[in-house]
This record gives sequence, C-alpha cells and structure tokens, in this order.
Amino acid sequence: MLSIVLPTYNEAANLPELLKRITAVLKQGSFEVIVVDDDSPDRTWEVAEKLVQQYAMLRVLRRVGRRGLSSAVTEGFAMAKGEVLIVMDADLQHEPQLITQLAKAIEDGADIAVASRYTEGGSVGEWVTGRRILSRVATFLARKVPPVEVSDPMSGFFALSKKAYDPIAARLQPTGFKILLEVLACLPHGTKTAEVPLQFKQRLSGESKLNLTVELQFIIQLLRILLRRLSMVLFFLVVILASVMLFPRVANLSPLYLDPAVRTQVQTTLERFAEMEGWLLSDVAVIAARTEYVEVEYRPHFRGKDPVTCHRLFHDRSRLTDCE
Amino acid sequence: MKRPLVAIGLEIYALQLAFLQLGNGVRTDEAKYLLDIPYPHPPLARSIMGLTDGWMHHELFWRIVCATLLVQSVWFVMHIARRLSPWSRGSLLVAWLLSAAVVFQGGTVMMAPLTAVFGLVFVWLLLKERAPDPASAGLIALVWLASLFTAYQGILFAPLVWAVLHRSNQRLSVRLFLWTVPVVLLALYTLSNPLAAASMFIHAGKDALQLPVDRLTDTAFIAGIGGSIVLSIVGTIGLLWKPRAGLIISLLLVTAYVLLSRFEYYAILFTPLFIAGAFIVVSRFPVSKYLLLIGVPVATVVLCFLYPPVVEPSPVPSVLQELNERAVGEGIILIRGQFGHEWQHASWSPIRRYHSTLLEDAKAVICLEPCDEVAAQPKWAPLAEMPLSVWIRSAL
Repeated sequence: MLSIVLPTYNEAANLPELLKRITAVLKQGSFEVIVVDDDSPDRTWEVAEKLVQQYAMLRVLRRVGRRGLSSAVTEGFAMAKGEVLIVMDADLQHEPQLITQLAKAIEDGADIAVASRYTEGGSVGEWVTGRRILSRVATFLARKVPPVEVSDPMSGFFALSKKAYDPIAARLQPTGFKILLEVLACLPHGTKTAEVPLQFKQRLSGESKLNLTVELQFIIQLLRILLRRLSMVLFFLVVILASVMLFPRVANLSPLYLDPAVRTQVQTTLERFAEMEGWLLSDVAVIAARTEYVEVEYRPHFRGKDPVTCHRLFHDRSRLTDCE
Repeated sequence: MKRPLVAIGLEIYALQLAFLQLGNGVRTDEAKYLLDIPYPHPPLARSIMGLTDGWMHHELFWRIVCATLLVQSVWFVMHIARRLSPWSRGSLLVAWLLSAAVVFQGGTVMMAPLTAVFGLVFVWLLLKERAPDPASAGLIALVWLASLFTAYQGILFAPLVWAVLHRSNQRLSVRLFLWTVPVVLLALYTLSNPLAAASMFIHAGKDALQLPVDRLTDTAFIAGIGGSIVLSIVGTIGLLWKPRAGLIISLLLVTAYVLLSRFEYYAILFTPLFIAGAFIVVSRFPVSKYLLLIGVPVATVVLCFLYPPVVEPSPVPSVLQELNERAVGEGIILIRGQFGHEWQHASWSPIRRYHSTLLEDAKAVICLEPCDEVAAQPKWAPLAEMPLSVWIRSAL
C-alpha cells in the first residue's frame, strides 16, 4: 500500500485537481492520501474534508497551533498505514505520474527514491535565473552534507520505505521546509537510493512559500547536520590537541609521581623559595621536576597583563636561576 | 514575538541578580576565576574570564554573563516541559528561576553555577522528547569535556552523561570511549598541575573532624537551598518515584560530595536534578504544579528573610585604589598577614607576601598584622585616613 502525504498551506484551489490527478494515476492500486494542513487561512482543510466524501482513501489532519512543512510530513508519516511513504507538494508542481515510478523503485529494493530536478531528464522548468542559481548553490551544499548522497536533496517529492523510515523516525528534527535533507541526514551509510527525473511544473494558483525565513532555516539546518556529522571529528581533534599539550608536561613532572624522594625535595624547595621571594603559591606552576632542581613558572596574578618568568630552583642553592 | 519578549524579561531578571552581587565586591573564590589563577579548577572557564582582567568593568561583565547563563538556561526546562499544560510548564520554570540556589548564586562568578548549567543541559538531553542522534554523540562528549574542564565538580554528573550517551543509541564501545576519554584527559590535566591536586587535598582536609550529625544536617540544609525546600522535596520524590539510574546516582554523588565539602554554593548542583524529578512528578500528578508555583517563591522569600544576603563592602578596592593613586611608579606591593585573592584582583601591581628582604623592591606595604620593621624606617610613610595600616615610600 502507498501512503501519499500532502503537506498543505493555502492550497484550497489546487487540492481538488491534485486529488483528481493522483486517483487517475493510481486508480487500480492500493493507496491512501493524507492531507496535513497547517490551519490554512484559505481553509484548505475544509476543502479536503469535503473531498473525503468523494475520495474514500483521503484522510485529513488539521494542525492548529503547529506550523512547518517538515513536521507536517512527519505527522503524516505517523498516521500512514502503507509500506511505502510518499511526499509531494500540493501545488501541482509535482507530476503525479511519477508516483508509480517512485513506488516501483522502492519495490525494486531502494530504501529511498527521489524525484530529482538535477538528474538526467529532470529540469527546474521556467524558474527565473536568480532562483535557478540559488537552487543550484543550495543543492550543491546540501548534496555533500548528509551521509546519503542524491542529486537533489532539496526535492519535496520522494518515496521512502517504511522499513527505512521507522528506525530514524524518533531522531528526525523536522524544522523548516527541507524534510528530505533531514531524512538523508539520519539515514545510515549504504542506504539504497534511486532517482527518477522530475520536470518541475509552474504553479497554477497560490503563492510560493520561499522567503528569507525559509532560506535562513535551510542554512541553520545545513549547519546543524554538518555539526552533527563532524561531531566525532571535532571531538577527536580536541582530544588530540589536549593530549599533545598535556603529555609533555606530565612527562616533565613524572619524577614527582614516581619518586617519593623527589616529591619531598620539591615540596621543601618550593616552600623555601616561596617564603624567601614572598611568592603566593597560587602564582607558581611547577613545570618540571628533577632530582637536582624543580622548574617553575612564576606568574603574579593581578589586573592587566601578568608577567611570566621561568625559574630553576636548585634543591641545594638559595639563589633563583632563570630557566635555560 | 513572544519568545524575544520572554528572553528580554529573563535578561532583566539576570541583570538584577548580577547587580545584587555587585555590592559585596569580589570574593576570594571569585577573584581566583576572574584572574585565571590555576587552582583548583581546570582552565576552560577561568582562562576565558582572565582574558578581560585588564578591563575596568570586568567584574560586572562576568557577573552579568554568569547570571545570564543561569537564568537563560531555563529554556532547556521549557523545552523538556513543552508537552505539559502551560501552568505545569510554568511551575517548572518558576521552580528553576526562583529556587533559592539560583537567587543566591545567580550573578556570582563561581564555577558551581556553571556546572549546574551543564547539569541542566544533560538533564535536558536525557528527558527531552526526541532522543539524541547517534551521530551527535561526539557533540555530547564535547559538552561533557567542556563541563569537566570548567570545574572538577562536573564529574558528579558522570552517571547522567552515561545515561544520555546510552539514550543516543551509539554502540557500547563508542559510548565507553566518549564517556571515558574526557575523564582521562581531566586526570592528565591534574597530573600536569600538581599544585591543583595538592590545593584540593588541603581544602578537603579542613573540616575533616566535623561530626557526622553536623555533616548530615548541613547537607540537608544545602540540598534544601538547592530547591527552596519545596522543589527539593518534590524533585527527590520524582527521582525516587520513577528511578532512572543516571539521575539517582548523580544525586547520590552530589549528596556525598556535599557531605564531604559543605559549602553553601554547592546547593545549586542539586537544582538541575531536582528539576528532573519535579518534571516526573508534574507530568504524572499535574496538581503538584500548584505546590511548585506557590511553594517555591514563598520558600525562597522565607529563606531570604531567614538568611539575608550579607552586604558587607570590603575595604580592599578602596585601599588599593588609593594606593594606585598615591604609590606611583614600578614596584611590588607587599602584604603582611593572611589575605585572600581579592587583594590581587583589586591590584594593578604584583602582590607578594611580606618579607623584610623584599622591601627594597616594594612600592607599598599593607599591614594586616603589625609591621614594626617598616614603621621604624624613615623611608616609609603611613597613608592617612585608611581603614588599614598602609605604607608607601616616603618623599624624603
């Protein structure tokens, strides 16, 4: 069974035509359509509820007080009964003919199948040059970030097997508009992908939802995914850096820990010099311990820049010597 | 628009807490962090604070930063409780923001409140609806490392961190690695700074002779401050009601630590754990929200009356300001007698302990104990109208 999720906002004018086209394509198959509407001011949800009488396979979820395409999709997925989950836009820019191709790709063994504008045979249609460039740049960035690579990670038209979706459902962070990108970020390496060419159509009615907020959300989403992916690398880098800084210091101090006689001598020498020089012990850092001497960094702490000096304190001398 | 307004309101509260602490001046422990003195805590937070110690308003700045971190971290509580009813959610927010520990310690430049913020982050990671992604386990480990390198007390939340890593669904071997390596690095840092370990032993041994009964009552009192009694009780009930090993063992560790080292400023280490417990109780028994909503503010007010904050301006800043104006030129300042790090924080010249052989290099001597030797020398003149005996080089 196919579960087609349609996230909607102000798509009242497009919805009847879309459902007509979907049923025309899938008339013989087993499928359900789930409209998830974010309480559209044009009452898309009401139109959808009326259409239930005409289309028995239609289910409607009206979300009040919750907004966002990605979360609408995940809520739709949560309601879905099918083994193949499909998402598409309700603005008629996605051709329902492709549903069968996407579903077939999943049946043939793919975990995820994407209707791509950037695969051979696909196109972005009649977009203006500015939007075309913007989409290219965003797609290029988004392609490299998730562990699973597809040619159009920004596509809003894709199919996913329930088997692949269930393990990642709890980990998705459905914010913003790019649900496919989020799904790709959570799927494991080695996920089987398939692509079918998508020729993007022009809107028949309604307005595009692309605006500055959406673009900003996309950048944040991209950074979040990148940070998540690189978190292990970052952690390793920090650990290596800290180890490189700390190991030599500990090695220089090792006699202090290995030889109790050195420890006692260091303590006595340190107290003697601190008394003589009026040093506060909190201004002294021991940097090396040897059987003959202890090396310290003296940094008197006060407001402004603290001068730092290095001294070698010999156990058998009473004069400060500078470090070599 | 609602969120920015809430954030502004919280910031106003944070500013109030910061200004409340300003009256007392810098305490010795605060001076340690503000000047990046390397004992006892690891360097992460203090080294950042130390970067600004040449700036005139550096104390106020860090008080505001610390208060802001503590107060604005209520957003984590808000996120944990987002599925609860507005009043239930509000009760948890009130419990965090108005617990006596936050009121008393917001605005102090101490490591315990920062550790509490880290604790709250771990509680959030454990209780938030969506489990952390396995891929983000590295980030969790980085936060764990940051908490340990901010203050040694971060180790008290180790069981909580383990529970969070477990929730992230990472492989056991990876979890073990991410949990252990920061602790090993901390141990390595401690070995690289032997006087830090020595100072901790000296510090810990100070009240070794206290009676167990005194320890228990003090610990109960500190835990009470941690949640203004009401949150402490509700939180503990919640933690016991639905036991989660990470939370319970962390609570036991914090309690054991406070039993050994009974400083009131450790009260705030309990607060994130109590919030976790209170969340469990409020989720199950929504009626308990009224207890928190009314009980916590009332208890905090009562505690403020019973233990009013002592505003006792220290003479240190005025003495050293006068000295900076009068004792011009290069040279060190010698102090005779026991003194705290606040003297260093108020000084723009190096400070050393008094020793007669150092008088040649000194430009001033502050006598917290009688210093007859200085008084006997004509080249030293006393500074008049000072609350302490202060000597500068005579013009003669």
